[in-house]
Amino acid sequence: MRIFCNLLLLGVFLTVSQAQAQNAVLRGFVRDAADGQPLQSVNVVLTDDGDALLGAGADRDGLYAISGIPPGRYYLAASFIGYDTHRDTLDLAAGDLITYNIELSVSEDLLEELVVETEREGAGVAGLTGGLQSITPRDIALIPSPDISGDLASYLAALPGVVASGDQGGQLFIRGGEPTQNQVLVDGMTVFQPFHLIGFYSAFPSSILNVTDVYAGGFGPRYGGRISSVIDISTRNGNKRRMAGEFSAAPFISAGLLEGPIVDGRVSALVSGRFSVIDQGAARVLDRPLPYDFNDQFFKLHADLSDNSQASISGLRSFDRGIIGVLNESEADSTKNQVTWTSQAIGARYVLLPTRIPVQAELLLSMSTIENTFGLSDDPSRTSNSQEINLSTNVTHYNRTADISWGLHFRFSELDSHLGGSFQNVAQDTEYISEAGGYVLLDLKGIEGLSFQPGVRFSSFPSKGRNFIEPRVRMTYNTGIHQVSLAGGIYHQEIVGLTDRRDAGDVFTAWTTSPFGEVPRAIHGLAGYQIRPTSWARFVIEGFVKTMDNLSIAEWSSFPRFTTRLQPADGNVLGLDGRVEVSAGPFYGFVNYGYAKVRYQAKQTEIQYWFGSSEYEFSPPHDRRHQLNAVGSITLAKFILNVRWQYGSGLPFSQALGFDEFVLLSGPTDVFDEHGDTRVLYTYPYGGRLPSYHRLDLSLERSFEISGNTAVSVLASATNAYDRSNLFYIDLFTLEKLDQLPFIPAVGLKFEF
Amino acid sequence: MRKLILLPTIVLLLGVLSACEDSVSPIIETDRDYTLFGTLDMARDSQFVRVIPIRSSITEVGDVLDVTVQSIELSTQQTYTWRDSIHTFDDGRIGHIFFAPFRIRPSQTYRIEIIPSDSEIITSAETTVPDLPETEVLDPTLERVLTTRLDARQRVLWHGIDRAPFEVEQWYRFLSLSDFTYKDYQLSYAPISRLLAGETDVWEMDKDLIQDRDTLSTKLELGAFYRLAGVALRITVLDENFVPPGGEYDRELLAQPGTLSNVENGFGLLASVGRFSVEWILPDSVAREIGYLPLGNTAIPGPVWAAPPGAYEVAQHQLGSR
Repeated sequence: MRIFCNLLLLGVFLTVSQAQAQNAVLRGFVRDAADGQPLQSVNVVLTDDGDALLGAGADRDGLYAISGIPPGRYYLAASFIGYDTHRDTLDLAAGDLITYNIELSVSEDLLEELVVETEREGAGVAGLTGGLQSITPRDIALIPSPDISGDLASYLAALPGVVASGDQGGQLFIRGGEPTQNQVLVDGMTVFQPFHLIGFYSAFPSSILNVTDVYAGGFGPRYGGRISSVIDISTRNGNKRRMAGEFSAAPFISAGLLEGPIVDGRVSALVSGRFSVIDQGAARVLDRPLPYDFNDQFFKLHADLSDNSQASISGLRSFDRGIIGVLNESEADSTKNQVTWTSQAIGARYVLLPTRIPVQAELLLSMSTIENTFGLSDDPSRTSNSQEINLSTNVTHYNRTADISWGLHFRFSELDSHLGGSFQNVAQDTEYISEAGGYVLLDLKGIEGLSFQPGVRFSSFPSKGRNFIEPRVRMTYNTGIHQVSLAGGIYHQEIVGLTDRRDAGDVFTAWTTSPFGEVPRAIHGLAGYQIRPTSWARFVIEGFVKTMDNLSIAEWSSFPRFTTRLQPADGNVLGLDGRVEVSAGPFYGFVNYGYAKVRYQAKQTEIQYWFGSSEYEFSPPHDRRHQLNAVGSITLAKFILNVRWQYGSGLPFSQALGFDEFVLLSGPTDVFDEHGDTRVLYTYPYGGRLPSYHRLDLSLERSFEISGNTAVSVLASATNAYDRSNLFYIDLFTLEKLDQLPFIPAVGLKFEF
Repeated sequence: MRKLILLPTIVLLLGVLSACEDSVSPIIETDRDYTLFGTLDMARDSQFVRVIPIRSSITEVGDVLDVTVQSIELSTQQTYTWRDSIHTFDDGRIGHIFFAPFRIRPSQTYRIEIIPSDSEIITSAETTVPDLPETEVLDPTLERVLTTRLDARQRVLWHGIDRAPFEVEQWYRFLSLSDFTYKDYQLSYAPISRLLAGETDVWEMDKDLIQDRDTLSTKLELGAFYRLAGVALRITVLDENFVPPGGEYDRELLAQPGTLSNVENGFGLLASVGRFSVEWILPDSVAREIGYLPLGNTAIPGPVWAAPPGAYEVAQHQLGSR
């Protein structure tokens, strides 16, 4: 494998050098002139007096690169709808390697802003390409929420194939995968468990986001360590021209953000913080206890070090504390079921365009931690802590017919768990895991309209004696109004998160190495077709399959509240997404439908006496078969009305025949002495289905410009507008039912400057 | 006009949707209404079982259990109607414990039925008491080791026991010359038990008579006031219903409904316990050699009876002459 890589890299350099000797390369960063933000998807095009037409789109750093340019005079045009086109004339000689940075100014005509967003690959809800959905703050703003500042979680929950455990719990299942199988990256840093206990919120307020790429499956070799999906978040840089900020208040959360230049035009800072105000807000509105407390903070320093390099330091902290499920009357009893988690990440990123080589290089160094506890604050019954230090580099060589990317990573993890009887067959001590690996990715562009990206990722875990080779491929073919996309690959996950899914109220997660020696593995395959029959409508359909081996699930036990063991399981997911997106005048809307069938197969010797076979197959509690989301947004007379209706078929849950006491008879027994333990007489795992879920959310927003950059926005919203009693949770022991959030009227206020 | 129609339609639709209250219950109706736990024990004059109604919530069992519990000895059809009692356990919970005054017999099958007053579905379970074994008490062997140390052993064979005895106990009976009564002493350890080579249902117990003497001598002045009257072994044998799947008493495993259960139309376990004893008298010469005062020609207050109460006496063996 090493020889293969060396040979490949040698070939890459030779190819590039050869191309370099005859042609020129033009690259640089595209930024917004107003605040220095990178502009993604700007089209940079070179034309000459003849037929030559060369171009490239800017990535999330605003970086573009055009390679293989024959010597000559060219007319450069950098255009982005909503901005004035930047034009220039360049004389390029053979072997030139030019760094040419561009700043674009906002055009007076902003009418076509929305169209811009749909032109990025994966942008717009129907822009789904090979499992990739790209999300911007503008997309998030379309989803009604009780919070005026918006949050990534609201949008994710509106995507087909994304199943939330409920309004409470902070668990997102993407195309059948478990929450701990989703990789969340923020500016390259791993973030553990970033979703807050209330389902509207994550650690990612819309105001700090630049672009979020969600790979629901089939992600490329650049990503690794998780087997289901990737949420790759790029945050905004602070404003490099002036001080700016915003403050908002709403019934669930209050937020503030400040940004501005430290060195004018070159170095900026951005600081954001939010904290829940549920006790003072929503709980009073609803007249119902909402025992949730959460907050998050984020900062970012960004510097343009030179024309061809930039660096950033980002930090994020997210905290959650609450009780999921039915509250006991006794507060003391309730706090025994309190779950808390604190997720932190800090990292540095350096992006360089070397002056003598036509490559882009990125260096990342980050540290991420997660602390989970369950039980009393001062004496938790379970704890699980994890720390990850990551050093990685990504390099892209630009060539006219093929961009070649490669990367190396070194990762060191420390895992520490004290599980108080849960997951009894997990080692309950401190464990250290080291990993080294890399990847190679080709982006072949030889055929017009075709992007073919084969690649391979390799990982080595010396302390475990394990090595993985994971081939991946992504392909997109555009012709006219049609687009076909394919993606697939093999994925492994050495470090797993364990959660007892038998109890919807138990969201405690233990991070550990795979308990059974065999590492979880997934194989993804997906195929999609997209068509844009008119300029105002787009349709996409994508089918997907995931097979997952060596999963760890809670063993079936008649003592669900106390202790459990783990058992291995395999899973498979089969599904289909269909999405229609319409953008016409002041109206934008989409309807999406998702079908997914998730099945787990497990073997547990014990249950053969109860169910007749030790092998059993079941639908796990996140197997939501049908989902429908309809979102509409219309702007009229400076009012923005957003509407969302969502439907989800019922989730599986376990039923029981009743309760009795279990007395262990292992010999002559005096029945007067043995009181026995209360036992649940379960039926087949997850054999029942909760009622279907549906909800209508509305919001109406109006901004009032006070002066220049100063504005006040007011939002009125109604969550669960027709007060549907959506069942979230049934406590089998008490038969008490807990509904999702009821009708919530809310008013939010935001001040921006 | 169309808008005027559309608006109430939407409002009506939403109203209907909000009214759609799907009902869902975590509890599925079942014909299995009761759980039965208990062991019938040859050591008891009365038998006891616990009856637990299967309930739809975790709340405690009520005071009233409207059922009739009866037992039938299948070979004779002898039937007992059991009486209910409310018992408060040490953790404060209450339970229904039914009892009936009778002794169980080896090899007999007993059926216990829980007959509800409001249903025709009878919850029942059967257990067959372990068979009466046959015993062989072999002559003791005495051997001098290095001229000073005596090695005295005695083997007892139990025939017809197809699984390891749950418990083995051993007694010695002495005649106290001070008050002229029998005194029983149980040793805190059991003799080595093993399946006899080449057999599947013959268990061999190897008694170390010297070890026994040394243990007893710490409690009694064997050479003065106590004369050895008899020796006894008692074994406890469980019926096959006790055998757990996998051979281990794993609480998590056995709590699975239907696991280690023999209750029809219900849950739980009914099993039976056989208790068997054998007693013998050591020959006077052997007793004396080991270090006891034998009975010899001492007048005795009654028959030598070494087995503890409650055991079903298999046999008495007279080894040699007094």
